[in-house]
Amino acid sequence: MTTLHQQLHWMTLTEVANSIRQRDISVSEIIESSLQRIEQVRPEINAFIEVFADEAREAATEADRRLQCGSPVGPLFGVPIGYKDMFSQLGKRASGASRIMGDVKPLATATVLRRLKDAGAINIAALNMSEFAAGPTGHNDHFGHCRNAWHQDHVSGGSSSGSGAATAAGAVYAAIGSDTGGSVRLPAAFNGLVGLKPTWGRISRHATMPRSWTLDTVGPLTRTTADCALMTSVIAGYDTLDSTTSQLSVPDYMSCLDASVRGLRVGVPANYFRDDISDEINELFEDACQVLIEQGCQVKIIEVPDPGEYDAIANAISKTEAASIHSKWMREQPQNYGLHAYSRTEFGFHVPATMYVDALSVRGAVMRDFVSKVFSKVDVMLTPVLNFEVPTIDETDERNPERISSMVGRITRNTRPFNYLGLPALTVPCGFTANHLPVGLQIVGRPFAETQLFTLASAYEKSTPWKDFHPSL
Amino acid sequence: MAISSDTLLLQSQEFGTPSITPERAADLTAEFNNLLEKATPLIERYRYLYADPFTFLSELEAQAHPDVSGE
Repeated sequence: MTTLHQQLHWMTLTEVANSIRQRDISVSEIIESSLQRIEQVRPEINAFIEVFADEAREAATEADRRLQCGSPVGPLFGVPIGYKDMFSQLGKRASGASRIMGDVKPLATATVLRRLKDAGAINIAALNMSEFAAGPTGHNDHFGHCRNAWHQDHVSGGSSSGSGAATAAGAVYAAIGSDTGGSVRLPAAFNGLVGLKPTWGRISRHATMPRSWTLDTVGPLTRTTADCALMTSVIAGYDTLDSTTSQLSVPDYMSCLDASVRGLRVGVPANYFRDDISDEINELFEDACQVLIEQGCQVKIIEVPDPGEYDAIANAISKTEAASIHSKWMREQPQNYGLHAYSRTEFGFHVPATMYVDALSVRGAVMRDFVSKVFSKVDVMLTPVLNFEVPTIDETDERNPERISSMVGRITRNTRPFNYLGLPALTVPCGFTANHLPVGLQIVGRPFAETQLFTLASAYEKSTPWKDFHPSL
Repeated sequence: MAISSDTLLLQSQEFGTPSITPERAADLTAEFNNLLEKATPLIERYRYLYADPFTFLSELEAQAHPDVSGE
């Protein structure tokens, strides 16, 4: 039995979905395998807030009955997935990995969770996260720090920390996270996964706990590009319940995975993104560029408008909006906040309203200018996700509020600018540092160019061995 | 332009925002002045009288990749 489960939990989402459809394996077997794996890795990575074992087993029994009847099934039929514990579901509490949200009764089910369920997925666990999605490391004073699936002394990345660790550990086949400044891409990169921050407006945020309405996005973390494309196909698209979603058509993301990248123009920024990069990360980044050149891409060095300015202005927006969201709780029950979440939010109370509105007002023009200056020269842009190796939990367990801000800034400097610009950004694994921790490559495109990101990531993934490595948990 | 930590502390008391110590006010003042220094030039460069902060989705759609925009 153990051998069978070992074989099962390293299958990809697309493989397991196909195996279920072809009746090679039952949904109940998959669910039992996943539950067994969760119990095995749970103490090691601390990625789970709640596991819905009984509900998952009931859903599996019903799914197997439907399979036997020959009923039509959705693209994720029977596949166990997890979600960051900030997506509302009627009848369940979404804690936000906080002490406070446990008292908030959800009034709706998140559109993303509903779409996954409609596609046949089985939600097996609510996953750990940085408290209130306020931190890029996965530290959590209430539920315990989430740990990297590859090395448990190291951070899993945040704020979708459990989504990264649980998927990389083989406990779920994919997970949903949210990204306001890097919160999907960082845990995906730190755990050797593929993670998508979609174009702002591509995926519904209805009934999702907000951190910053202007910058929040929802996206999947998966073990392969095909899995990420499949998840995105299911959850993307207009939602009448979220007026910030786009009515533009959703392309068939799966059909682009085998497209040629020959002639694709790939830009590598000359400025900003590799400032102070470690030799080791830079070498892996250059290797990745070389792989793309061998695939026929035209890789060229380009100057980009200064992303450091976007980083600052994005911070002003996210903290101001977070301060508004948390105002009542922070005044009335500050003792119920962890240090990281509290200190990262209080700055927002001191940003003048005019500066906040200014930051919003110029956003469209800034984005237009960036798109015009960059994507007139290249089709996509490449950057490292993080310019140094994945830090340890102790190194980043900063207790001085002043230093928390600068630590967060170092980790999110390459990811946060794209939240302000609203552009899609995908991270794909591009190797390991000497201490066996994964490194991520960030691919950025023009608005709604997710297809191109998947195409390039897929071509790169097929030419490299990284997706076939698994943590030794 | 810059603010002092005394101003920030006073503002916090007057507006009833979550209480802060003078030391924390000094930290936040430094963070705020740093933000002013970085964000102000960007805002001034792109400031436009008729810019509407609530049309960002339309702006993105106007720049969309031809795959989805049908161009």
